[in-house]
Amino acid sequence: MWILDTCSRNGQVETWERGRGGRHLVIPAPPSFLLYLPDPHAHGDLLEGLECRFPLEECHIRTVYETLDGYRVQAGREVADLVERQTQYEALIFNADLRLDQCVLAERNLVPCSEEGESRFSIDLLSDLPAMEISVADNPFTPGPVTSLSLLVDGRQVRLEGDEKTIISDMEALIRSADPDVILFPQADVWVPRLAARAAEYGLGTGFSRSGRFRRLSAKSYWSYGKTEYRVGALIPDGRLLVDTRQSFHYRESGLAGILLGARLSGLPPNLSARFTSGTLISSYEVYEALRQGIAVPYRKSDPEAVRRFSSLKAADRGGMMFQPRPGIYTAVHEIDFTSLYPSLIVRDNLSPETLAHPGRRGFLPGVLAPLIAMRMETKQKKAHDPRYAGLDAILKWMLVTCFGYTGYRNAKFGRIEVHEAITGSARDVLLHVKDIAEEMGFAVLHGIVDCLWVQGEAVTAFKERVERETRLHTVVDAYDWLVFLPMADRSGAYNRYYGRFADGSLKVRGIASRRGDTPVCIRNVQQEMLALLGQARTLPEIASFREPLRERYRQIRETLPLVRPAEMAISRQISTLRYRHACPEASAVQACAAEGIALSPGMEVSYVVTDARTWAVDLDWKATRFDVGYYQRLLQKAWEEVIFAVEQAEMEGG
Amino acid sequence: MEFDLHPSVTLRSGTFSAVVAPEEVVLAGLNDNPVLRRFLFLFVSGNYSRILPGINRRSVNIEVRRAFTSFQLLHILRESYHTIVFLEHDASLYEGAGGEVSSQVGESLRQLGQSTLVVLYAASPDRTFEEMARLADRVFYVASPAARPPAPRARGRGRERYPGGLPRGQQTLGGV
Repeated sequence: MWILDTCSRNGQVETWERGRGGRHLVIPAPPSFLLYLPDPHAHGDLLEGLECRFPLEECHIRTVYETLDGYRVQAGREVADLVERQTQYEALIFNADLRLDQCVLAERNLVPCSEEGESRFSIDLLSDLPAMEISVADNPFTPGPVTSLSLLVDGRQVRLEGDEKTIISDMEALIRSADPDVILFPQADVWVPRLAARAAEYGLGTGFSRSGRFRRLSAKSYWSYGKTEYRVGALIPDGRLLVDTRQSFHYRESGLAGILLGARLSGLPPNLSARFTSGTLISSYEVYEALRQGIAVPYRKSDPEAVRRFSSLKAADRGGMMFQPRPGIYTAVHEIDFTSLYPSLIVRDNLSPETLAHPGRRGFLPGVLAPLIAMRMETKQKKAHDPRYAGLDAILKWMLVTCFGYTGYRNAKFGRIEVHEAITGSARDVLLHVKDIAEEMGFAVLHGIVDCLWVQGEAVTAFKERVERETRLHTVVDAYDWLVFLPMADRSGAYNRYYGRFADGSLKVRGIASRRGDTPVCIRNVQQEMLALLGQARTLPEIASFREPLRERYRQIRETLPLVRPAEMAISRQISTLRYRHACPEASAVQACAAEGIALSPGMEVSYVVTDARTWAVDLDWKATRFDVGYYQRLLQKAWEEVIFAVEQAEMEGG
Repeated sequence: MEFDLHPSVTLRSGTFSAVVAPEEVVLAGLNDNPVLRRFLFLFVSGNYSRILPGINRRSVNIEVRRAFTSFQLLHILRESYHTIVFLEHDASLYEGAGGEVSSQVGESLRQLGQSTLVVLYAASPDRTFEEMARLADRVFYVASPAARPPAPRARGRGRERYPGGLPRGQQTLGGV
């Protein structure tokens, strides 16, 4: 039973198998929760009242900390909320806010996107599902009918044009006849609600849903890693995987294979693994694992941090370790990088909320993360030779990256701040230890960021072996022909702006214009072109020899900059608010969108062209007819300075 | 037991007080306060503390607990055994928790305040703070020193303050 989609409605869970004529099962699944009362005698009336109204039975509640004697109440979350209030929040409640389809799959030992008996942790999974590609040529942010829609069916391109009713009718017929398991559709989450609404007006269907019904995923703005993010709302069709290829982060990073693996691990339908963040996927994975192991999932995060002495708090509450580089160009550099360092430390040091008090006990978190780390080791190794594993590697990487942050997240079901601090503490010790090993072995340490260290020296194989032996952690070493650390404004070394050439001739670029998401295409292309030129140089004299060709290219683009199409000057940025206090281009872009009737929410991305930097006047990218040449020349100059710095340093080093 | 958080704010055992004051006023009251070295003092903060970074760790003998959710805060208050409990208000603890949780926190503070010196502090009040402060025995508002009107500045030297003579009915010592 290869489950392609699941959902819960009206106390029932529905599952759909893949393939034309795949089974559609409906499983009764009344909601329930677990209740523990520290003093049940004090709440006799409450228990009596519950028993009169709902099925209630005594049971053991196994938490990550201990086993409690409690009750299973067959009632929904609203009853759990009432119980909480009536007990003045003394009652501990579990499993009250879980997805019913996830609970049913866990209970029945079912796994989405998986053959029966197949291991969830296998990296060989089927991802060649029958797929159809759909795209709409119209602007998704302007109202009006759909005038042109393309479909790619069985390798055949079909273009639908004309009046909207005919387009929708033809689209429905084509989807129904091909009956694909997967629909790949850029901006699907914008277009599908519009197409569904129009279809309803015309008395038609769309064909997207195998049952004709949709589930609604609401839009939301949220705060993540210091940024306001926005998740667009979606209409999710029953029984079929619909991927918004433009907006799905996991599709962009991991492709269809990554989405399917995310579903398999988290117990969520792939329609959700395509739309949820990596943090939600890892937390869903932990919940799914807990359910499969019979561990109760707390409804509220109520286990607080232990009492801390003020001095110990100050000592523990630090982040990752960094060593500041000296700006310049370096040759014969090696980068030693720990694979999934933080999750590996959770496993190595047995870090979990319950092991803080009982370090001898095998922790829940290390237990559930170990198989993911083992998979990541495998995919990382295999992707070097087989690109089919790159997507799987990417989704595992992102899930493992976020699992650390999740331990400190205030609503994490299985997180505690002390675990978060212990992880960063261990990571600091590891980096300092590796630095000591490097210096002892005669390497010069150039730079270090949390989980990787850049060193200059020769006996790198012996160094890697010793680091792995002494830390019990897996590492990857990359060799650079040359590496540039850029300066900050005060001329000290920047931590996160560097680029270099690997021994195989490829480039690694971080933090500079061509990597930044808000760099205009024109400037990004120019810098990439210049870097590609530098990438041809293996030695410092060769880098120095590129001064004139680089300067010539810079002079040429500077002169022709006023002639560039304004659309190539578009800057894309996420807006953090709709009410900016100071004049800035984002504030002007928000006003411009309002003038166009485009509804915005914090976290959405806007694209604009700066038309006057003195007043921060902007035009939306698709309406821009001009731009502030001086402003873009300054951006170009910054990008140029990042490149020419390498040449200057190479000349100084004797090139 | 009592201690002065500010010359005009004396806090006593067995009371729950809500205090709205600038951070510098509170830090001045906490740092180098000899009373706070003698008693068990629990500082409770939320996700973000504006006070903790300013506390001089050599001058006070405090224990800290951080609550990242309102449910953790309730748990901390229930477990508290300290003589003084100082809670720095953080509105983000109550986001998405339901309106009744803040009332329950206020009630827990009130109950704890029957045997302990309890302070609920915020630099500026918000809706949840005010809900909880309604249950306090006393509420103190301390104005920011910067908010006071500036003292009149003398222009130049030796300017006569009352060029038209003293205000009517006012006597000077010379006239007594």
